[in-house]
Amino acid sequence: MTQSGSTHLSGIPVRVRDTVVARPLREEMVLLDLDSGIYYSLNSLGALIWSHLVRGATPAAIIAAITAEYDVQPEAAAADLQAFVAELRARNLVTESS
Amino acid sequence: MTGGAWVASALDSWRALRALVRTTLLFRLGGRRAVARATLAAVVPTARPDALPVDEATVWRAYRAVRRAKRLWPFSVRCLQTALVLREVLTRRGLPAAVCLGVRLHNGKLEGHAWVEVGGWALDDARIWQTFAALPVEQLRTKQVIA
Repeated sequence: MTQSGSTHLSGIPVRVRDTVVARPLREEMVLLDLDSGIYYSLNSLGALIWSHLVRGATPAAIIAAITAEYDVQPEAAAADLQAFVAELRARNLVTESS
Repeated sequence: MTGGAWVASALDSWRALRALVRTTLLFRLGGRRAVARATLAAVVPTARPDALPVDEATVWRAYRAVRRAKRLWPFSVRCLQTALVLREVLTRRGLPAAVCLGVRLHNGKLEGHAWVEVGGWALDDARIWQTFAALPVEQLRTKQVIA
């Protein structure tokens, strides 16, 4: 996972699709995909990752943010990040970053 | 009401009824994706070259026409459909109206709402738009400029 001091995760960074709008709501993040018409609600961890993804943060920066916020090891944070991004891809909310 | 205003009001009502027919078919037969596509198009105020300055009387006449049409309509009309219909009536009048979408958490449940904005006016039949956090659809507007 760690290569030459930088964290590499396959498929990250990603780009949020143009038809997805997001809005923080209390500690959650609400997403609306105007292509499918489906609303999504992200919990606080999802909201944290999402807010970094939309800014184009590197996987290392996102993992650092997760470990700073939650009491988890970087490996566990990386696994959470990978799983979350895979879920976003499966739901067609993000695409490959160009 | 003057004769001209009466004619304009009747025309708005007719357009609202027609839009109710079309959107009812869309909601009942079109499927979620078709509704989403229509919504995506409606969050953009139609930037027509002949768009008129927003006139308060025209806005409220269209709003009342949609309310009248809904009273005559035998089916239930939810907020998004109302917003699509009202936007269409306003747009046909040459006003740059756009559908707005909001969300809120109510008793732990995520709720969505739709209303129309035109020229700084928020038009919401249910009058609850202020309790919803507006989704940032402006980002879609900048990406979908209608030529």
